[in-house]
Amino acid sequence: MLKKYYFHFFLLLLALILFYSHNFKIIIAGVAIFLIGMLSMKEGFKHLSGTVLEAYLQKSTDTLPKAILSGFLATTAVQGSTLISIIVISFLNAKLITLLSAVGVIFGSNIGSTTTAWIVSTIGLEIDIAPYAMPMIIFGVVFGFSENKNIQAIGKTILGFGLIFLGIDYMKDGFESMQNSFDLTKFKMDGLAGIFVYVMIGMIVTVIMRSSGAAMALFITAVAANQISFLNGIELAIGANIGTTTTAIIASLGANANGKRVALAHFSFNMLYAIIAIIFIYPFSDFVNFLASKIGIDESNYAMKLALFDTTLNIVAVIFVYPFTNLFVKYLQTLFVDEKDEIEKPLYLDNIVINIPNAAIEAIRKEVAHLYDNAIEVIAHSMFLHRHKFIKSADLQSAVKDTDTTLNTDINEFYTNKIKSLYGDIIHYATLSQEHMSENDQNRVYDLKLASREIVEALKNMRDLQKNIFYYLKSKNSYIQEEYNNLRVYIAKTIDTIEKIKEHDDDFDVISTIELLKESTKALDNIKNSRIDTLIRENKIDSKMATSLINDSAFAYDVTQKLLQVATILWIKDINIRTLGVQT
Amino acid sequence: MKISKVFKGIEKLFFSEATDEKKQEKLREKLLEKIEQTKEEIKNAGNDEEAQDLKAKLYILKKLLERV
Repeated sequence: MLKKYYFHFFLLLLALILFYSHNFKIIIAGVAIFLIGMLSMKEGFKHLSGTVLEAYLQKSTDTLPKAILSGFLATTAVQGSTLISIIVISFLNAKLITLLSAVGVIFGSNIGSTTTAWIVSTIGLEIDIAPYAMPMIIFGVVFGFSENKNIQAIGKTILGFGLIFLGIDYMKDGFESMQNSFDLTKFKMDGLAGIFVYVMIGMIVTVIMRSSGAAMALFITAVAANQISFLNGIELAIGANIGTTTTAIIASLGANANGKRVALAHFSFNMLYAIIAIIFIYPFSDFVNFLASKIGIDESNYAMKLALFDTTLNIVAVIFVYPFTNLFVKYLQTLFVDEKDEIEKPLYLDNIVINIPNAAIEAIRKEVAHLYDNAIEVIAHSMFLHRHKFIKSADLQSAVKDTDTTLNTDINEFYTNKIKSLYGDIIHYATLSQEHMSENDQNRVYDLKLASREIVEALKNMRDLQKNIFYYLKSKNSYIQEEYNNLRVYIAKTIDTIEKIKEHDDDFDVISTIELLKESTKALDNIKNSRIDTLIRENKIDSKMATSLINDSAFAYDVTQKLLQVATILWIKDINIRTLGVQT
Repeated sequence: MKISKVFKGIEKLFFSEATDEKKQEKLREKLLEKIEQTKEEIKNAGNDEEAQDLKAKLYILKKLLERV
């Protein structure tokens, strides 16, 4: 309620400013154009660099220094730390990287995000970029008419750059013409009061804009136009660094434990940056002046000096926290531990990555594998077996015969608690994620949905099998007992083989193992073979046993085929090889 | 020059993906390579059981080749 009134008040204030001050109108229009530009550029980059960026982040973060460097390079490339944070959280959820690497990437990303300030203070302000902005905007829009999504993405990127430069030009014009009518420098504040007021302003402006890059562009342009003193500019930059973490914190409220840990790491780092900056603000501004003179930045070029301050301080903060990172990560791991619940919850389906195709697909794949593991637990128990006793056992036949009939698994209860809700979550998440995907990616998600359905159906078949397995395992007729043991061996062998497949790297080895198993389980299709006929003819089993066996063999055959189908979809990485397996 | 031709040119230059035919050809090559490798492994198999397993694998790989 209060939030609604704040927004109304903000709109009213904005309208008044726009109505009464032409110069502020130009500046705010510049900020708006700049923000649209950043949004367009990020979308373009996101599409163009999606696969490459994710692969790079996954492979180049195994040590802390590499993670920091990767965070820096990736954020510089896409000009946005939010996207990098989202990818990092998704990888952390999928266990593709460690929390230490994720924190390293965030540190690097903070340094990388300062490159926006360099773009603004060098290209944006030093060169008259406006004449180039118009052709960029025109070409960006024309490229957007293409039906090819990659060309559309190039268009968005070019359009974004054009709008960013146009936005800077507007801001510059606004501040320059303001010099003649209105002098902002009379609000210059020194000392503690200045620090407090300007840090707060920097923070609020960044929270409103939801982008530290855009806020820094505004501050740098104001400093360049001499409307704000260099020291107050530094204080605004400190505020921007605190303000930028609020977006991450708000986003993390709905995220899982990993998302919250990364957000807290980001917040803590930026707070440390702010504390160091506030305590050492005067010696640090002297140091930046000294550094600027050494690298050839003009003494009066406050815009570039502000960018230099932002980058240097971020580097200093990283150096400062580097020796304590391991300890800090250990502490983070003790926080936000998910509570155990009766109803199984998804481990990997994070809404934060639903719009990033590759990360979303990996999250769905991991979740389907999680669903599979849950289903295997109940399938094993419904055959009166413990998984650890037969999986990777040297003698599978004997392990299966070691029956534990005390295992009284209620498949319906298990289905309600560990499968149904998880299955529903996977289908819901997968369907929403498909909205933003290319046709190929949509097909992959469709296959993963299919795998989930196969798991659920395999479980339903087991429910039908369970009663007779229990009944005939206790039968005095050794023939029927042997036949039911056979069914269990086939299913156990399928589960065992799939567990081994998970460790294979060669897709051809995986598919040939699956296809071989498919061939061997055909023996289960008893109607087609003479085995059951012989048992009936020789009066070794009665007609009731025979019909049960015929039905249950078909159920067991179905279970094995469904599990093998799931294994093909989940654990064959190459799409062309996978298609060979799914065809049959 | 039509704008669609410009788009197609850019698409071809930067984003041309391997056609289905090329992908199938590549897959066939990889499979043939794997078949040859398995044949070698059969020759060097340490015992009969291992050789039988490899022969079964070879049979499946040949069946997969037919599907390509």
